[in-house]
Amino acid sequence: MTIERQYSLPNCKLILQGLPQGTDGKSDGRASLNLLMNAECHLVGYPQPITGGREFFESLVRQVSRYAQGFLSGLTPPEPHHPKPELVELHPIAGDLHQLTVYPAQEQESSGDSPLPSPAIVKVDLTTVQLFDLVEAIDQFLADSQTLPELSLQLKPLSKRYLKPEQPVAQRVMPAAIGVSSLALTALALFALPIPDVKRPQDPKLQPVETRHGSSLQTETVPTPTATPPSASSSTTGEPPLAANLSSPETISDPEELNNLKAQLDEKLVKAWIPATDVKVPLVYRVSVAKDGAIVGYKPLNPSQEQATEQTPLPDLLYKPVGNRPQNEPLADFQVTFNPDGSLEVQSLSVMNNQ
Amino acid sequence: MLLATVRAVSVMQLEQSQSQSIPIILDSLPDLPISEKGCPRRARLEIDLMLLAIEALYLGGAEHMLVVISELDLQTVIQNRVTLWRLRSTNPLRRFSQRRTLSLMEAKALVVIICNLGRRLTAKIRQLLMDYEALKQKQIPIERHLQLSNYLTQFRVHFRSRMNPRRALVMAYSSDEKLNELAMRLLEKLLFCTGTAGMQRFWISLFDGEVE
Repeated sequence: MTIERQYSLPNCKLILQGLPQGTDGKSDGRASLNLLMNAECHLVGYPQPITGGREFFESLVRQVSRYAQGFLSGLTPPEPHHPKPELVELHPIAGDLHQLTVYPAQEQESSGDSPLPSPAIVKVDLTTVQLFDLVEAIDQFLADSQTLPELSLQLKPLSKRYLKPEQPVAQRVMPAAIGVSSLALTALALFALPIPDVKRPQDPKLQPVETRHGSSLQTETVPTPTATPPSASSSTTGEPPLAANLSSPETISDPEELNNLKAQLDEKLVKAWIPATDVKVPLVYRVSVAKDGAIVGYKPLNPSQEQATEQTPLPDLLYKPVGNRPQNEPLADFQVTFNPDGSLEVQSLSVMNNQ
Repeated sequence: MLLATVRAVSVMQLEQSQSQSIPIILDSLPDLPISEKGCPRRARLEIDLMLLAIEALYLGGAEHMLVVISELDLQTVIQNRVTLWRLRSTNPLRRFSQRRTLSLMEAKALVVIICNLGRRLTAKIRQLLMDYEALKQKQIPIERHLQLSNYLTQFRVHFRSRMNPRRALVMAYSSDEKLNELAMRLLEKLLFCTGTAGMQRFWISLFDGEVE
């Protein structure tokens, strides 16, 4: 005897068909659905129901539940590790929509009676209300102890380990780590200082500009034949050669000046930044600022966020050289965090170094 | 309900201590391992903002909160409106932010209030969100929609009058557009709180990234 269960909401209907397993003596008039044969998910605005077997349905439950939590907390949970790739995926897309992607199962032997001649990838864009209805249909199913009782609501907060810093505690740890590593970097750079210094007298007449460049500790970088400041090339390539700024031996250390620059930077960023809704993780950058407040370089602290730089106002705010900037002008380094909730944080890195 | 009343009375008879009985409804939310400093910053912020959204949704929202507290026998955790205000003021963005901590029990009580009031407002929340989608699609300004624009205006007024404008995060919401976005995002979250497992989902989400 086939049992059918329906969970209906205005935008979403979930229909499960299956069989009871044996007679487990439950006499409350409602047999327990234990063996899932077919699962159908009807979404309003999408003519064809999405159907599949147990593998599809379990993936749907897992992924929708996971996405809902990410939606609520604003933090993207990592992909769970499963032996098989998930058949269902959910991603936020532009316009505050949520894209549901369903891949066809490799083997369709479990759903014998569902005629699916051409399994294709299904993509459905859901509004937030539609997403909620899908979540709600699944939660009603999970709360139903007479349908696949082994599946129930399993919620656990995300572990700290999976996260990029957003909380004060994490924030304090992260810049400290960056501070230490940049201190090490500076130390390394200073350690290398004597070598170019020795070379300096050898060819000052030929290429004074390049030699001065050399003295700024670019022992590893390819010497640039042009005398353009670092920001000049960055405005064209979009990749500021920050290493030059970082290894600059002169940093602005006057606390008052730092505070002033920090305030200037903060103001500039707040004015220019329009938080993009599709960025769900904090974007953290190291930003170098000159004495006059010009942003002369930046670099994402997480290289994988290179792409997301376009979501920040940094490319627009980067100093476009009109005249010549002094090569070794003192700089102040800041760590800037663009949080997905629209907040901004600016911290001075040299203050971190001194601690 | 009757049981709870009987229990409350018996507790009162035993001793006048208010911290003795724990409202049963709070048991539906699991305890989470947090530090002795109480609930994390994001949880305190989020809870207060959600309550703010509810207040913006209907007039007298703050009074309704007190009604819910007595209906659900939450007085053992939140005795009166002053306590409620103190708990909400653990939100670090508040003008008069309290230095006190927010315990798990107190946070649970506030989450129960949010979800309870959210459920009563389900129809309105759904309608507002669907209308918002429609307006966006047709590129009609939100201001044309009376109810939506009422909600957003109310929210902005509440936010600006209660949050400390010198906080960086508050400064980031200085424009109407940013505050509207925040208000809409809270409304969406509120919709999720109205679901079958909404309370559990919202509760757990408050601790994302806060536990080991």
